[in-house]
Amino acid sequence: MRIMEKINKTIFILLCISSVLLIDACTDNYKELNTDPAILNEDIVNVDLILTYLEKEAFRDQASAGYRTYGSYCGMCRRDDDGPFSDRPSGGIWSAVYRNLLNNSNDIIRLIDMKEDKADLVNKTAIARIIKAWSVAYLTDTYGDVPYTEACLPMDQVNYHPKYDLQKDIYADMFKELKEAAAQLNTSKESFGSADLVYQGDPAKWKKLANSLRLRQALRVCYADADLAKAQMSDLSESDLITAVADDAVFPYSDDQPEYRNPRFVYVTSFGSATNDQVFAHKVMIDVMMNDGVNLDPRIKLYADTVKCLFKGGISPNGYEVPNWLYRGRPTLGAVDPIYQSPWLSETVSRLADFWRVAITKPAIMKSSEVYFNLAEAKLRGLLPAGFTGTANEYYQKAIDLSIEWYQDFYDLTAPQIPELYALLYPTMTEDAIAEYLEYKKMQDADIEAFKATPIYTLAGTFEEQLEMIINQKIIALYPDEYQGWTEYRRTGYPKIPIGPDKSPLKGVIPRREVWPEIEETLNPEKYEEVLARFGGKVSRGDRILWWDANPDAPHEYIWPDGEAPSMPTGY
Amino acid sequence: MKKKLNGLCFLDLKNIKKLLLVLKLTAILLFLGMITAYSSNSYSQVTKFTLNLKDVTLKQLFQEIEDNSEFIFIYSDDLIDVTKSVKVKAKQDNIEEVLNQAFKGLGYDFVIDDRQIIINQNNKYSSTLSTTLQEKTVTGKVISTTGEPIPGATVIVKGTVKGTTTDPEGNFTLAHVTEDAVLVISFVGMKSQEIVVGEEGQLVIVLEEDVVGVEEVVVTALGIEKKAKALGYAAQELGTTELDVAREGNIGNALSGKVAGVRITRGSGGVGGSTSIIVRGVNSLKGSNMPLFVVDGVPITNIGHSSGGTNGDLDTGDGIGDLNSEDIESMQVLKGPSASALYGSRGANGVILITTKSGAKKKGIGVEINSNVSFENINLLPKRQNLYATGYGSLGSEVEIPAGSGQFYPTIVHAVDNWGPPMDGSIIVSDPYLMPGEAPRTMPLLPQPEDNIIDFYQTGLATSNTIAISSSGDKTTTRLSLGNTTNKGIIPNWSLNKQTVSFSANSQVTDNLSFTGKFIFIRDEGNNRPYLGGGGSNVSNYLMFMARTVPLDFLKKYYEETGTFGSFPGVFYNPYYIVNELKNNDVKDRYIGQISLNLKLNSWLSLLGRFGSDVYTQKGVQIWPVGARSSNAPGRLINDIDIVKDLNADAILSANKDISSTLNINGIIGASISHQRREGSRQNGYRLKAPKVYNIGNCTEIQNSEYLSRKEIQSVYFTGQVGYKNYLFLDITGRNDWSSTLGINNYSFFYPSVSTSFVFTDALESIPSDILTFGKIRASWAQVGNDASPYLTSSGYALTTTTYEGKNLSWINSEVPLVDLKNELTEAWEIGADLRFLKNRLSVDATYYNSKTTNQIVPMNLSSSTGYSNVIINAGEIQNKGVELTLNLTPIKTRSGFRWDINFNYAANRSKVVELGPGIESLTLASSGYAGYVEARVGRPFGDIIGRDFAKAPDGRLLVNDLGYYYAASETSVLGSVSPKWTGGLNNTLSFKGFSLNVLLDIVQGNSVMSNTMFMLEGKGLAPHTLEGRRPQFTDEEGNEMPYINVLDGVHEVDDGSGNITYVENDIAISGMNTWAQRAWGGITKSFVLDGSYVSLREVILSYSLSPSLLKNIPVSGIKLSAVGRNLFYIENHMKDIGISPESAPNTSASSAGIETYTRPSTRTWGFNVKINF
Repeated sequence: MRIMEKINKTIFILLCISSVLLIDACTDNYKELNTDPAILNEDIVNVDLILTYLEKEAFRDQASAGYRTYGSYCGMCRRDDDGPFSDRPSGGIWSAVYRNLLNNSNDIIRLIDMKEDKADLVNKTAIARIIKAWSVAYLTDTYGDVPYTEACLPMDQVNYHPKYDLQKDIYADMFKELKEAAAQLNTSKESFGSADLVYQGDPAKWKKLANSLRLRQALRVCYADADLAKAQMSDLSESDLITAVADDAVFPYSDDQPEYRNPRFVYVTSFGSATNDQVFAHKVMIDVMMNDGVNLDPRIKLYADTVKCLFKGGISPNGYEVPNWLYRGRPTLGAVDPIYQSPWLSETVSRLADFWRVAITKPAIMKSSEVYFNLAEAKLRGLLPAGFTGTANEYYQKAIDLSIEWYQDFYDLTAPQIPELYALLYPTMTEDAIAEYLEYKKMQDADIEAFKATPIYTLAGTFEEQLEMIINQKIIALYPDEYQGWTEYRRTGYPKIPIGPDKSPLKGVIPRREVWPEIEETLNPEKYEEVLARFGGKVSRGDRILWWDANPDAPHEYIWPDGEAPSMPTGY
Repeated sequence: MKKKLNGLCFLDLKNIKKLLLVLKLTAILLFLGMITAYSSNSYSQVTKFTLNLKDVTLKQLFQEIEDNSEFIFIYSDDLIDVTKSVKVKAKQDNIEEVLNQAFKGLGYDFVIDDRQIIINQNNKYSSTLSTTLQEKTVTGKVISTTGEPIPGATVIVKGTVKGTTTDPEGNFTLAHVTEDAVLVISFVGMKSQEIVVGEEGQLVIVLEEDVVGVEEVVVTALGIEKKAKALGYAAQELGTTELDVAREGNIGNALSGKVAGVRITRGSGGVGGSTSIIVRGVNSLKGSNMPLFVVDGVPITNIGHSSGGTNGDLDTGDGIGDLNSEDIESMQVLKGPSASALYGSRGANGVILITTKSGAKKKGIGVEINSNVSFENINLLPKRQNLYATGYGSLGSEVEIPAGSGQFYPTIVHAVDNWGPPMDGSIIVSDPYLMPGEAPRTMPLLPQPEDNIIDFYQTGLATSNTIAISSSGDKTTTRLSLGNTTNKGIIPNWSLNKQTVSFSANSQVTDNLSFTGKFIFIRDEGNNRPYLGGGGSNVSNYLMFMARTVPLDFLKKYYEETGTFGSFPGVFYNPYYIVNELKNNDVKDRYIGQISLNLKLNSWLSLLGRFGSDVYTQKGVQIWPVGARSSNAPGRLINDIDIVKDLNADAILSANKDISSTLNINGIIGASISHQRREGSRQNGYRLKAPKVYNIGNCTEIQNSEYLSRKEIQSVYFTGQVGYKNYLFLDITGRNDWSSTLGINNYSFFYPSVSTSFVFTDALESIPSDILTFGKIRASWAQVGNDASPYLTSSGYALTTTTYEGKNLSWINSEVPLVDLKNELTEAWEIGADLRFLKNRLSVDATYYNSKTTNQIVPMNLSSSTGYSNVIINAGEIQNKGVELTLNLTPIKTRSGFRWDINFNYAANRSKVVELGPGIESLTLASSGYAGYVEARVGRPFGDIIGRDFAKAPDGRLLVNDLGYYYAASETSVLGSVSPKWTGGLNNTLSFKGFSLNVLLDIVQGNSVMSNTMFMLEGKGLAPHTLEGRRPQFTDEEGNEMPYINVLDGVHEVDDGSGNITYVENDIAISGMNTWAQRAWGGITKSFVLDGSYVSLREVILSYSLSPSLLKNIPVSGIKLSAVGRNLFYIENHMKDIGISPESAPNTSASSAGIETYTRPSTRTWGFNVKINF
């Protein structure tokens, strides 16, 4: 019995102490413990929050993708270094589009589809579908064949190794999405409202954007499948498109956080000096806007600054004679010997005007001017349905007018921000000097009229000549959307771009696409091998493998023969 | 609502049922443990003797008994004549009966105190306890077994505070001692002896050398003390002497080079920064690989700085760096899973047990003062060329000086690359380094003196003072220590201050109940810690890459007079502006406390209840004033608060019972709960409304964010040991954990361990102990589970706390969770031997281990086209196997007291990534930020450095492209490994009387470092080797010198168009710039992967302990003076060409350890230490 007593006593003591020490001795609360309170689950997440995110990622962050690089590929601007012809694969657009754009747009559609009142939320679904279509176009226009039907599935159905769809098939679905979304939009139903920073949820305006996007993408396939282009345009009418600057689809940079401002502002202020924004006006765009040296395009003032010639006696350190140019652009050279670069040292070429570097601007998703350039070209090609009664030249002139109007608005938006920017960049610059600069940069009506009187304002010549005129002007209108500029160049071969005797792997061939990220070889090997096999096992950025990249006459770039010393241009 | 207190609910009605269940389980285990033990017998009663001895001396009898039992006889030769002959006949009799028989008629008596038998003359001890005893003055001499006097031995009257130490002749005198008093005589390295004073005047005490290891007790998992010889696995200890003299800011660093198989990597945060510790290689691909730190049985949190090297944040220190090394008694490294299995999930990467000092060992009041001052200065500075200015060949535009004079002078190009004209003074340029308003002037183009940036740095000064007071009475011992450390860094305005208060109390409340309480308070404050890596505020980065024309004193003057940083050629950012204007401060208040109650239930069973908590709050502020560079220009403020709580409670029932004289069983069963909670918030404010007001309310834009991470592990465990004849031991442990971080059906996981140890020298007495003094072989096998980080089992939508045009943003997470997440499992076995020869003059400890970790919790990267970045999977296997060798040698030991000890340790670990997951061949662990990665690749050792080699022709010659320069291979390849082939340490100690000299070499061999500094120095034309091929050598037809001067050794690949490839010798002349810059910017990773092997003279300590005879007349019992040098220089450093340390790993993450990014110059410290005992 003594034994039992002892045991009992021990157990009792153990109980007393353990009851203090053994706490929560169960796993009932483990699920709650292991749930991150900072993460919203799908029952409570609001799709409006996802939409704002989606728009910011698409129209703010992607709008600046390829900044300085794609500009070198279409004559819009010229980066400082000589690496535009590298053949390295690029994964930036790839991961951003899939993870941030497609996944979230799919998810908005999925979340709404799970709701009981989904019939009342068609506008939200339609807007998500339009952004999705924009994203898909951006993705496939960059890479060509990409995973699409098996990509971006919900978390519980993820396909780890999605197959690469044909670009042609992706286009078909994208056209379908744009068409159905436009049809789905209903002005009498609920929409996103203020969460939509593009159109505040306005279904009518989204419908115009959907149609304008469809026009853009339809024109893109005109060399590959003119019938498809024609078919996609057949149900459009002018009133269904973005036809006024006020309806332009734009997305604002935000002052809420420093990193949400204009990336060029962030870049230039991060170095505390504008000279570190190593990007210059391009020879191609300057040459077009110089308009043969008479009656300059009035927009040139806002595009670029005049050359600041700092050398004594007009002689540069390299011994070149430097006349007092007004505007001078830098060509795309590639990896060339320094002797080819010398004529375009930074002191002898125009810098982009600082208007592009202010904190808050509104990058465009689709401008009315582009719509009219598209109509002009479609008309020229005979793709438009009967409802479009204007001539190609009328559309062309309307497009230029709208572009000039846009540049005027741009000046109004940016000029008030210049003093703040200059306080950071050039603290010694006086208020008077800034005011004088701003006054000089204002487009004058007389200049506009004089410009419109020149031959450049009227379409003339052969089909190819007219097309070149349209694209040359379109580049000016599209600026600073370097990506769309590059895409126009790839499609049509315009504007013509002179290139130096490049010795880099691409040998002066302007890239036709981005190459799928190298990591695909590791992460999705089977499907990656499969798509490579479609194009002979190995692809380069210079290969014309995009389905719509089918203009037999392109490219038109002029490459200086190796060894031929460049002569100094006579200047303007 | 649950009633929560500190995140724990102490009594929760809802959970009572579960609680009872656990208790019931505990009770059953308890019952099983008790069946074996229904009576409480003392050793003397259990131990039976069968003897038949005739005509033996008493001494022989005692010997016989000591040999066959654990009894020890204590007597004075003066009182007891052991040569008397006796006869004894016993059959299964206990000791009392044996001795009564033996002492019959001799007039001696005895007292049995557990295993000690104290013999005295009749009526002198046992029977006169109650009579009043005479006080007397006792004198004595303490000698060694060889008859040499032992100076400095401690003599204490047991149970009192009275005591003294012996003089150089080993003599001592103690007044006013009663005859029945027992003296305890002890000396370091000797077995303590107790002796009864008795009547005689002169005592002679012979102290035997303590054969290290034989009866040495080590602390093992859960604070269980075990005999070293019973351990079935490798464990290595560092004692006080190794810790308190050569003070390191972070006690983790004190392990450098001292423990086989433990790799220490200092973070680049410098003093006060984090330290990476990896035990026996990396086990977990993506989880933490840091060992668990346990202070006095209670785990503490050790969160260090672990972000990649290229982002420029602060290292505000780690958890173990907070501890005052003065409070630490010893550190025990439990290396393999067998040793740490009882710590379960948290101990999967090894455990470092820290025992803090508690009350004095001797009775009475003890005071200890330790004072330390040390200086820190630069040991290695990045090497830069000093011949060429900024720019790209030519000078910049012309300036007229003086204005209107028609004299034009070129400018220095406003660039940060250094491929410009030679700075030989022959060119006169306009001086760009002008104060505001200064008239333009000219200067010859000349460089600043070499290594001038050293002037920017200052000598670091660290002081550290600790006072510890301890008292020890019969029932209670206490210790209070106060520590204060100040540290002035090598970068101006960088300082650290730390105050520690440590209190411990130990009380024997009743015979059966004892209580221990420990409390440590730490305040750690950092001011203007340097920013790390490639971020915009790392001052070392700007100094390193500053052009050679830049006069530092001008930058200082410019900053001091204008308050701005200015903009000058060759200067990214004025360093004086950075250190004076970009400020940061962090304050950590940390409380580590524990209480434990130990209840002795009977002679062999006791119950321990323990609760420990480690709680701290760290508040950090970073400011950028209005006018700072980059996006911080309009002023910025960051407030961080982090709160970390780590609560642990244990209940442990332990038993220790001798079943027979040859068989001992001991073991424990226990249950514990661990709750970890980390939370924090950040306020990131931009655009100050009023300049210089650093309050979040003064910011125009504020981003708020917060995080909360929680984890709970509940466990039950047992361990049991069976010992046979004190030379054969078998240990088993088992533990079951329930971790909240795993999948809902996988919370529970169990893992066992078995280990055995065989002391063959004890078992086989035929081995001559003079030659092989001690020999043990051991073997063990164990499994350890490792749980996951929180929140991997569910996902959802992230939400910004910032806005875009006033709107919040939300998006779907990019990580796909694993709902059924399981634990990682490490299985390991090890064998080892501990051999000591020639009475411990030579000892060797060798271990071979083999472990594999399977079921790794890996974020498997997904193609972005899935829509996600990665998915959590349970897959993958890493193997680690290796050897560890520790060798101790005492080549010289003379009677005069000179002694030379050599300790060498060696560890080689071979890791292999066996599997990563279905279809995964590699896993990126870290990125250099440029062209290199650290990856785990299947079939390869852990931590390959991956990048591009030079493109090569089939015959191995380098390929040159059409422009004439080398280019990168199209495929990536393995360029090195972050894991060393072997690591080791060589420690030499020379001691003579009070002097001792300690020299420690720390060795790491066979690893590589990917150096971003090298990348930049080469890419920017600053590295000295980029001078090669710069000077113009060719002139063109018109006599102009052309900058084409270098024809790289290599071949061109020529394709004749039909697929035939031939190789043609390169003949293209290129500039020096293209020779070098193209390697960096062309992404040839190979050119900046460097050999990271080193041999460092880690520590030199010269110390002197004042002879006790010198201290006779002052109330001080010991003084020790030391001079200490740490990290003095590298005996081997393959990175010395660029002037940086191979230890410049930027962070504490195992995988990133091979990436170096713009680290501060490495430093050496030297200083003095005084330790006084009262």
